[in-house]
Amino acid sequence: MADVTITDQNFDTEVLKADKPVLVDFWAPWCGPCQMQGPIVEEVAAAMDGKAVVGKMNVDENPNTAQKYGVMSIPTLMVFKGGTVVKQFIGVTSKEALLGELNKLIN
Amino acid sequence: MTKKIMYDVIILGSGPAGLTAAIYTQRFGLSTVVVAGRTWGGQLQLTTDVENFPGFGKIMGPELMRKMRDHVEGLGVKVLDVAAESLETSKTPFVVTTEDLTLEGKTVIVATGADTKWLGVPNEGKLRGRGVSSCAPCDAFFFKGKAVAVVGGGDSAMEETQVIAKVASDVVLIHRRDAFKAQKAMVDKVMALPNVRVLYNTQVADVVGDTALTGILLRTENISPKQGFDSFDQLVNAFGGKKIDDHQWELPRQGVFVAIGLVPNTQIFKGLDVDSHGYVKRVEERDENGVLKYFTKTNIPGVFTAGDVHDARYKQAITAAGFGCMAALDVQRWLTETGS
Repeated sequence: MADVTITDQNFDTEVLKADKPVLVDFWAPWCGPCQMQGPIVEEVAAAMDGKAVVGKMNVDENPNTAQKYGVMSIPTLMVFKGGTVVKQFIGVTSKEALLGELNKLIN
Repeated sequence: MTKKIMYDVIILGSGPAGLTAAIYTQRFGLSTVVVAGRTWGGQLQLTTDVENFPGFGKIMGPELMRKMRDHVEGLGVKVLDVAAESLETSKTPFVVTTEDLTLEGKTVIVATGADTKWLGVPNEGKLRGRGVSSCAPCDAFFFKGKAVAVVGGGDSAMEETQVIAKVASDVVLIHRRDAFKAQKAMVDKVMALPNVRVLYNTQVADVVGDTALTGILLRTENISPKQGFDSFDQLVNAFGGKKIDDHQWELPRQGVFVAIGLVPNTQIFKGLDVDSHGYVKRVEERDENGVLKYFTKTNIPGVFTAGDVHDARYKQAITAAGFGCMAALDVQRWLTETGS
């Protein structure tokens, strides 16, 4: 399954109310490292097909959620479960680290 | 599952040094692979406008790297977006391992570059991504109208200051010395900005904040004559700070951008000689007439180096590319000479 586009509008239903773990990649088009993170997140989405929700949130178009969660560097990757943040990564993060964190929440 | 593949040259790193080396070795007909690292493209990915790379006038750093990578891949070189985990040099062929792959190479070019050096103060880890950053172009967006600081005195500190000054309300550039080592053209640009002030002879003792940065703990030993203040109290007051003792004070800030230098990426290499700062040592070789034969050799025959991982002096995109070219030429000569 491909990654989901998360917005300020659908954040509640797609992330907070999800019944699976959710990975959110906070990014913006002007950020060089975010361009490296994007394909990694897409690989994570493919690998976690059906077991977790993997989404990307453009902070330029959706500033409210980023502000609410105190995001001040991008890329920032947050893992949510049951509506709360359980893990946060700052800066480009490897596929292995992200998969490891999501798998911990599933098993 | 491991697959073994043998190459004439394995290039570790995908900044200007590694990618330039790849263009040359591939065109020499040498089988080439680039192990790009966890984050490909190197330091230029963390910049905005590059205005000193010949032929491009003004180009965004990430775009320049995209063009270099397209060039390399267009020649048929495989660029692997994986990190090298180890380099085994005790026997030949050399062996590079990544998570899934084992690569064998007759030669290796170490062009792994250098990464941000952090301040190393107690609360920095907690506040990274919470006001402490190393990439103004990435994070400026979060500091619109806010009071921020930049720490450093070199070219990258000047660039960070220019970028953040466009959006922040005011910027304090904190430098531990009395003079900058950045290029004059860059310093002049920064000094002309109306919302930038400089603190000389000042060190960062810690960053302050609970869930987000609120201030920076500073230590000013000798007030620079350039500041135009007679006393420590005057200086502290002028910056809206809070005095703690005769030398320490807290400057209220919501963001701080760290640009104090770089750490070369040599941690995974065993047996490769590095200097006291971790930079790879080059071993120049001359022939019997004193003519330079190899410039980019390391202490391990068959392992060469290029770019910021060995260069603490020039550190430019164009010099890294130049070193990459030299390493490729050295590899070709070495393979010919050794009959490999």
